[in-house]
Amino acid sequence: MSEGTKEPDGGEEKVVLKTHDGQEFTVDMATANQSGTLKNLLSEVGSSSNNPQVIPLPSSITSRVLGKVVEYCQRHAAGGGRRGGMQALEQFDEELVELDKDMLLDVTYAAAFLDVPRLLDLTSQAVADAIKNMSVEEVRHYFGVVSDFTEEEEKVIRSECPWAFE
Amino acid sequence: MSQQQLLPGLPDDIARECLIRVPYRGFPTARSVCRLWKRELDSPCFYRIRKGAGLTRSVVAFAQAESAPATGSSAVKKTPCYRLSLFEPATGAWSLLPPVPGLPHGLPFFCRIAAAERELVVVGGWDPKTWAASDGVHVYDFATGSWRRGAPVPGPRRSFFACATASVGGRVAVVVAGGHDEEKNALRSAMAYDVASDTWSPLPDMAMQRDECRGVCLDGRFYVIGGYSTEAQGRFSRTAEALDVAAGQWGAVEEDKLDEGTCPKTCVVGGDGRLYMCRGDQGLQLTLLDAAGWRVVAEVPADARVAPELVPWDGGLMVMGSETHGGAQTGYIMEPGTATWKKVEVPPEEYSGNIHAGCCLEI
Repeated sequence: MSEGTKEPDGGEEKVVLKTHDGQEFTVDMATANQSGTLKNLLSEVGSSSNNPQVIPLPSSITSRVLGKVVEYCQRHAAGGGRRGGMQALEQFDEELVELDKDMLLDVTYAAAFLDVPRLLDLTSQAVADAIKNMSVEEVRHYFGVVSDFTEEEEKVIRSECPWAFE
Repeated sequence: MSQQQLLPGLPDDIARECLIRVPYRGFPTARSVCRLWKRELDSPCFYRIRKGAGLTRSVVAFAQAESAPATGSSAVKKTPCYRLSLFEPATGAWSLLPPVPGLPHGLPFFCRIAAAERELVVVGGWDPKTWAASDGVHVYDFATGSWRRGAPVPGPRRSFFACATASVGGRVAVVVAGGHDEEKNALRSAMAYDVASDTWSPLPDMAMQRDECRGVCLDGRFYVIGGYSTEAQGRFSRTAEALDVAAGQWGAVEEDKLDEGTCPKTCVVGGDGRLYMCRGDQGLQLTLLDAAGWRVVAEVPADARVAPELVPWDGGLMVMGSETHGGAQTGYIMEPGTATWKKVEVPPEEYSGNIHAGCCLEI
């Protein structure tokens, strides 16, 4: 949230991302360009340091969610050349997706909406790994998926692969 | 009534990005969650997208004895129990498939195994107790995490036959050819097993009888390499013949496919579409067949030279063998585009047992 009011430092081009809940994130172009969606948009409308473009985001991307995406994009705009190299970057990625379920799905949505492919890869892999490590009942409960199998179908499925339910 | 989403809170196209990334071990769990997930996981499209996105993984499967047989002259020789072990070259992880229901003594000895997309097909072999040849077919589906029984192999009870997976017009078939019947007559006959419809259909006979021949698939052709006729007992032929799988016709016999009459057991097709095999009088070498003939690629490491099993995976190769007869298995992989072996960690208690067959799946 601190990014919201930060003054641009120097004459670099900036862009302001505005969430539905009123937060503003001022980011440099290298960060914005991590997002395919923003890159396309900005290549058409342009932006400058004195008069930065303000881009409003849909309500589904809250300031908390955008904060995560911006954090990712800033870090990756800097690349592996800074702050401990590729290894540190990998560790950053790993820690970034240690999120609760709602946040993980929201960041996944934002990564898809803003077209940040590697972030989408990270978050959707985290969702996938969570599924792999759970029993069927745990998956249903965790993701709020309601089983619509009939009793008979459920019986067949359980007999096919009993260990998936343990 | 609102339409159910794959993952509540996410549009389905994004949820799909998550589901295609579920590692294959999670498939049985995912498809048991609800109808929507089951339909997703069971759709051929799911695997196509997964493969297209580079999310599939090579898994090498071995028909392997439970543990290394005891060395020395121990009193009671226990019949080894064969099961399917899996190795992932990308992670170095080993695991086991669940045992085949109805086979309390393990897999049949010398059974053949073949990969059919996300299924593994076990064909024939000898009953571990009676040593009688089996016509059994067992199919393991990695999506459901379960075994099913396939239609038995028709015709004579065949042993030591060629067996490989071929793709025919988008359908996957396991083709078998040659081997010998229960009277030890070498066979010319061949047939194809359509995995999806669980049906066997006959193929024309080969030009030659081929016992202990090897089957590999390359460019729509099922090559049967080497083997020997009933009269030639153990004197291996250097010839090969290839079935045009779509046309169902055998081509002319290729006289000098092998440059020596040797057992073609380790013959495989590498990621570059060329034939590789382990052979040699002094020591053992990995050789490949190019326009100029067979040439040496690399020595097979000394501790994997006895009874090696060679398996291609995603452009690379894997060899499992031992230093002495009946010794513990040692494994090496060759990364795609290299000619050097890298030793793999083989947990001795579980995965160092004798190997009868190997193949690789992409799942």
